[in-house]
Amino acid sequence: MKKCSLCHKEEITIVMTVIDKDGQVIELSLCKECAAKKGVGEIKKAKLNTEAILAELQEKISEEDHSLICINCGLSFADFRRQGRLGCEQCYESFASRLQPIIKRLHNATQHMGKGITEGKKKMTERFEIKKLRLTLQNAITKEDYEKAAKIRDQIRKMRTQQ
Amino acid sequence: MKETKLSFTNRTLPIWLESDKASSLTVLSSRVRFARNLAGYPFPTKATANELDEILEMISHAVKKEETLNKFFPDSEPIAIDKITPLQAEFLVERHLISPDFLHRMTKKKDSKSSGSFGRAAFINQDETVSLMINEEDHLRFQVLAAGLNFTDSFRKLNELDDCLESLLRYAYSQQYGFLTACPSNVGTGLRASVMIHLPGLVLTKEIDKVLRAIWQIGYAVRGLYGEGTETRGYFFQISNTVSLGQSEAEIIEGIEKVTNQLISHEEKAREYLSKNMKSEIEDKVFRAHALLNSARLITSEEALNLLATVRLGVAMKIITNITLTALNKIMFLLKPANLQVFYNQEMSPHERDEKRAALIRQILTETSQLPI
Repeated sequence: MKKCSLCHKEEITIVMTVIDKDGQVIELSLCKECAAKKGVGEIKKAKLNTEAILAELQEKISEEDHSLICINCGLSFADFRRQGRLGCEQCYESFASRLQPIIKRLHNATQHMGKGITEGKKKMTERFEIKKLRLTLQNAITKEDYEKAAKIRDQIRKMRTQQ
Repeated sequence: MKETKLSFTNRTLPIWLESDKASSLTVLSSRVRFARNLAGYPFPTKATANELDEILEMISHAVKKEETLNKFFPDSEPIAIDKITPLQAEFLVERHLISPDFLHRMTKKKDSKSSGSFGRAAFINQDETVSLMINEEDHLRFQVLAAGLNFTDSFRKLNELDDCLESLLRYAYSQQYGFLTACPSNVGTGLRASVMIHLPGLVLTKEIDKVLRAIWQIGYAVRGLYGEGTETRGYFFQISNTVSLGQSEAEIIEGIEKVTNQLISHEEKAREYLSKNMKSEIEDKVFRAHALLNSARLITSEEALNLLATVRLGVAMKIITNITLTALNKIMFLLKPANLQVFYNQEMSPHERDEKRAALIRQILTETSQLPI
């Protein structure tokens, strides 16, 4: 077992490469106490809470994480743990039980208390949906996927008659 | 010389840098931003090229609505990031108008040439106080910048823009987690509020670790200038909230304001201590920095930034009285590599930049200077 370069006593907690007085590059192993005295530990401590939690996610990804997949976008929980980013809004439900403790640690809360989305904008939403469908329709036509295009066209018609 | 078809060369320095607020003695700028996503589309990392284009089209459409455009982006055209030169893109990053991540995503997409249009664009208003990125990490990221400590006006504006967009778009939202974001660290309000604060007094009196650790412990992130990592340059620190869920927007803003005010008061005390107990040491440091800036013929942006930070302390402590904070704010932006090249409208090697930078700094400092000594 390596000993602390300074006090030669305890187990080392940090190994760092430094340049000494003579300009030589040396490896320095420090125990927790000496690291704290040298102010080394502070950098580690000061690491952002959020970043630390996200970094932790990358450790010990299990088989189970690979088989847990969001039905909407196909992202696996393992993917999320690797990238720290979710694939779609549905992921919040697909991974609900696994995400909740993470969110709780990040925010120390699990309930939104801020502004909401405005109600009574159904019409606006529908118009938005139609616009979205039209774009998908255009894409289907460019790709010559006429079966898909016909389906979308019918969907748009249906929505219009309901308005 | 590459073509610069956008009005980049006409871009003067942002007006928001001009500040006579008392808080500007310590606080360089305040920033608020919202992260939002559209319902029914995967987040950008998971979206296909077609989906990215659709998202871009829909959001651009909402931004270009007369009432939104007139109010928030008068005379602005969307900047398609793939249509500008790398230098111009870097320029926008240096001005904090787009994120390095946004730029990175662009170059990555470009290499894979997966799609003709890259599904990414930014809207930036003329005075550079409001900017909006489409398809960064989230579908929508928009921010309002202000000089000094000013969250009240900035947040009002940000919230108005959000309301405008929300009336035209359908956001991904859940009752429990609020606005849904690609990273769970932004979920809830999607609000990030931050200040760029100058704390030389606390650094020089060695109180900085203690103070920043206390701030970190109550849930605020501390970063060095230019965002990344904990390494700090020129005594500049960025403080931001880390919690976006479980508090209202107003509570988040109040929290960061309170923390900033505490920091200001700690910093003021440290400066008082310095002027009482280390007067000649500080004066020596400030005048040496000023002299170096006034004499250097070659200077890197890092060295210049560090020296300017010391001069800034001198101006704030009234050791130097013939330079304004506004002038210093402006130099700090101009000395950055891409800004410098855009300012002179020519591409330069690092050596040429160091030369031009030194000349520009000397010019600006002497123009405002009638040195008493």
